[in-house]
Amino acid sequence: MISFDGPVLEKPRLLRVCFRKTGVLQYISHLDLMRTMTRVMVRAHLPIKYTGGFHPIPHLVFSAPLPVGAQSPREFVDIEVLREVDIEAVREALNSGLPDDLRAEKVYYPTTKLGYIASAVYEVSIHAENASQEMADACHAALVARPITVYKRTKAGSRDVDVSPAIIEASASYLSEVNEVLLTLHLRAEGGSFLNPDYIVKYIKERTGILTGDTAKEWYTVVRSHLCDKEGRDFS
Amino acid sequence: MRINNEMSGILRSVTKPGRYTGGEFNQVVKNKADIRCRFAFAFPDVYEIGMSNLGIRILYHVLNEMPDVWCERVYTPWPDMQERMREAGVPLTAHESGDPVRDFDILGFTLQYELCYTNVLATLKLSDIPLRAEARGEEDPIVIGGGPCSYNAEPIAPFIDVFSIGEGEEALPEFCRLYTEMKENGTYTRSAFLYAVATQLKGFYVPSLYDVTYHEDGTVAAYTPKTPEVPKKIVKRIIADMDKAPYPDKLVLPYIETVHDRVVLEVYRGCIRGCRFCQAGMVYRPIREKSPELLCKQARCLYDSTGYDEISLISLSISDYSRLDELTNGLLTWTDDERVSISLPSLRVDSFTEELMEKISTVRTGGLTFAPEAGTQRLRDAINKNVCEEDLLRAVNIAFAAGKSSVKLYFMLGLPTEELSDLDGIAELADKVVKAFYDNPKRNRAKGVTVTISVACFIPKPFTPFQWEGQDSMEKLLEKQQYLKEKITNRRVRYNYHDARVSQIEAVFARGDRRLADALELACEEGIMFDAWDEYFNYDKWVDVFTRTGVDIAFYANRTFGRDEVLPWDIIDCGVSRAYLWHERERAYRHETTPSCAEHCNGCGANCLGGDTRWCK
Repeated sequence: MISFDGPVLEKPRLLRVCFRKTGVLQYISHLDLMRTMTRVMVRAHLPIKYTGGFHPIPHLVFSAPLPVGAQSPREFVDIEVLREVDIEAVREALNSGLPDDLRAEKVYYPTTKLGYIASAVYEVSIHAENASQEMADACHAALVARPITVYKRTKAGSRDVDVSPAIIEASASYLSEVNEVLLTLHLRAEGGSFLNPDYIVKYIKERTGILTGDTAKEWYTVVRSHLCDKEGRDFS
Repeated sequence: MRINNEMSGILRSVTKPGRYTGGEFNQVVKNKADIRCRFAFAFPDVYEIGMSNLGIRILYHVLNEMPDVWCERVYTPWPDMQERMREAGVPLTAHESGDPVRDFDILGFTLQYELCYTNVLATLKLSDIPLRAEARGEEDPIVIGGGPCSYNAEPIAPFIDVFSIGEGEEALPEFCRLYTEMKENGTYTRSAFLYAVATQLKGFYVPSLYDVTYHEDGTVAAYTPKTPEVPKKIVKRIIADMDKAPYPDKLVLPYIETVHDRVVLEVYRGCIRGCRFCQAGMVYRPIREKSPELLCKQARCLYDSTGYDEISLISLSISDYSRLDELTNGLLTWTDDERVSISLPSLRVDSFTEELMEKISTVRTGGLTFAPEAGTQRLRDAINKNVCEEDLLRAVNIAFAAGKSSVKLYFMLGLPTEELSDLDGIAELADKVVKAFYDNPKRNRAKGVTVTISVACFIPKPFTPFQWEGQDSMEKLLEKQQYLKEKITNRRVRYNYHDARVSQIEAVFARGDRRLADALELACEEGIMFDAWDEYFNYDKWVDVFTRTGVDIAFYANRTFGRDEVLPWDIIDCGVSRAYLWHERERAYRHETTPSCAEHCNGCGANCLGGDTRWCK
């Protein structure tokens, strides 16, 4: 067990953990991720700020929630340390308590705020027996068409919504070597969160006839490959 | 679990895919090359329920402590997942390795409640394992059952190869060792192994080694062992010294939210009380306490390995633990600093004190629940609850003075000897609690009071003094529920009651015999499962299944069993003698209470099993 007994800081200092969430962990919801991370921090006995109230828990602030079924190489969580710590030791302590599919990649003192995140790139890889250049073209045409109407669950109930305002740029291409159609979706952050790409997949499905529902023959994966700031640069 | 492309497609289309992925922190993964016995431990309900069970957590640890045994977890997939698996032709797999359950050496089921029986069958079916024990071949796993329902396992006996009766910490390792020995010395066949288990090991019941005959009136005539070597009665196993009992040093940490997601600390086994309706209070005897020193050590160890923020002290009645003060003081030396709260899920009104209220943070912050069980002193005496109205009012006053404004009270309806005046008593008691709030000068004046009355239906259970009693007929239960509803006029009182139809089906299986197996099999064919879930319980379907298989519901649920009748569970010896149970039943009808084991020994017979006998002087 690594012990964190450095000198107490005058005021808490923001520390950022960049982590990946891949493999089976893609099926874990954001709430479950928060709980998992909280427990890891507790087990590691990190000298960090806790919330107040009857049930104090480590004070964690996450970047925009990743939808269930999406993987990501770079996600972020901010904590506040109360003592001086060796950031490499923090990373080690976290990883010793994390599963293989959830790893702290980098720990650092940030110069940015999580609120700077303005957009994200999602890569949707559709594996289907009938994937082809024509199919990719059809997907592309569907993606650039306006409006893009999906049946969306919202707090006010379910209704048809045009989601195209959330799309900065979208394209589809055919990767012949793996026989898949790749959708690249650059989405705008709206109130700190993103449109779930599953809506776009459903829209594509209805518009193009790709993905008929036979899970043995076709499937798709979703990766949030980049979180970007206002200028479109990789956030860190 | 191995997530191949197909599985990823399936997981994307079901609710809560986190139920199926495994890969949790603290799960045990072993190198298959070192393993001689692969054990799939199934909890026949959905993941969130199964992951909360303490027994499975203990036995998972015990089995995985054996270097050549690998125990993995199996849960019943939710119906949407089952449907997708069937469509795709994917068999049920174990959580850790993702290997098909049918390829395991042993498949264990913990039977926690009767309403999970259909899930046991659904789980077997999904695993491609023949439902009936007699239809299984040499390549199929040995199917073993255990847990509270194995005290009368008869309705499900034809589907299970062998039952482990009583506590499994020592019995299951013996079972696995015998299995690997026979596999290795070449003497293993399915039937040779089961015979060896029944005749060489203690506490194992192999249903196929007994012939059951019935009288013309439908009652059991006899259980006859097929050979003289097979035991006439199976005596339950217990762990004599709980301080030496194995206990996990880490817990598998679920990602998704489960029902009891916290450190669970088993404080003692057994119960000194002796409520006459309560099966747990009888079958877990004799009382065996763990020492506070050991418990404090275990609590700290589990906190360090999990990071949980709550420790729950588990037992049948926590305030009866003779060294509770030492234990809570020991825990409080560090829990507050670490922001860990302690919860006591089983408080009796007669032991609820101001001191406890201060110490126990969940008591401070959460809702309060007490179980008077009956509305009048006469009936509380008849069921031997041994609490009185003053105790309850004193307890709620402590709570109200501390700022609480809601209390939940558990009752049972349809108890033996119950009359309508006892139901009046429930409504009156609720009124008195409301009045106690407004009479309490220290009450929280910002709020009004809410008293919630939660009323379950009495279900006669094997190995209780009320095992012979018939359950009230459905009409009567409904009538009583309605009667009570009309009696509750206070708008500060909220009234909940259990579905009487569920309780009736539970009663059928609780006191059932092997002839119910046909009904279970048909129920499985009809897709009946998850009976413990409101959204899946279908009474009409059950009535249809019983009608088609010739089962008379009233014969099992509503009939008063004869004093000298052979009971389907007579094959099991749980320690407490039948004579004692009958004696207690007679006392119930005379409204006589029986003192707790802490006061003096009532001679129930459980001390013949060994263990801590200082209670039995």
